[in-house]
Amino acid sequence: MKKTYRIALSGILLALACTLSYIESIVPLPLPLGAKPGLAGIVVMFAFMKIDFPSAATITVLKSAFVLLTRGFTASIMSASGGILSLAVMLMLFRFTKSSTVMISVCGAVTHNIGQIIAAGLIMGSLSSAATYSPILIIAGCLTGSLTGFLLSLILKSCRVPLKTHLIK
Amino acid sequence: MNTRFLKLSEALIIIIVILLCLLIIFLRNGNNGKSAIISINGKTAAVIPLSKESEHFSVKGADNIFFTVHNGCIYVDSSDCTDKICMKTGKINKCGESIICLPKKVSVTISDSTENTDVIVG
Repeated sequence: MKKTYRIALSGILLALACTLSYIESIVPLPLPLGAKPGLAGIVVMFAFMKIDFPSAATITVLKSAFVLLTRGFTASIMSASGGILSLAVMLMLFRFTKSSTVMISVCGAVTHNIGQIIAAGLIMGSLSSAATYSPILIIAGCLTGSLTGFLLSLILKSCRVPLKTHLIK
Repeated sequence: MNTRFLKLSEALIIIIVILLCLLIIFLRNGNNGKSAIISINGKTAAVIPLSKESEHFSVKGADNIFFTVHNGCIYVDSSDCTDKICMKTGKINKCGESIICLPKKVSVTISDSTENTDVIVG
């Protein structure tokens, strides 16, 4: 029972993450360099805060697979590199520090962008020309991370049910 | 456990990081460059002088991406790539600035020399 509940919930969250990332990719926003708010990050953070790490990692990887199907190979590599790096950083902050939700989200967004810069540099074969984008992308990460972190903290506030105790005995 | 909202110390860290990045952006905006190095796959494919106006030209090896040089600035005026980040980057003319088009593996970097060099100013 508990296991099926966890699988079902992860599936719902994955669908939500894919939908949010797809909507972001088709709605143009007046942000520099095609930066996006990263609303799917809310879902990933919710998953590792309220369910567990494996389901958050699965959502991240399968979301990249979804991007591969809808937006092509390069977009998928970018999504995976940013997603995995930011998940690792956010998880460490969540486990080992007493950082607030907004701070975790900001660090996640910034490392997501840094992961994408590194991946872009490796694909281009020139890390330095990709790195010229980094200051503006770090600022973008701080702003979008604050937004998603704020939204997540609102969601966590209204989500009264302690899912974790619900799931693990 | 986790404080729900942002702590003051964390807000300060974020603000300092944003200010540092703004500082880097302003300090980097130095001299106007003299040429644009167009690289494909990390290898220099063409060096375009920014003093000469030219419109809607393409570079061998990169299909369906067109550049325009106008008023000492270079920009990508059209490209058939998926994300169009190269076009959104807009006009560049300062040393060290760059435009990248990831799906096409094309990058444009401004240099202050007019010679054919491989050096990219970071």
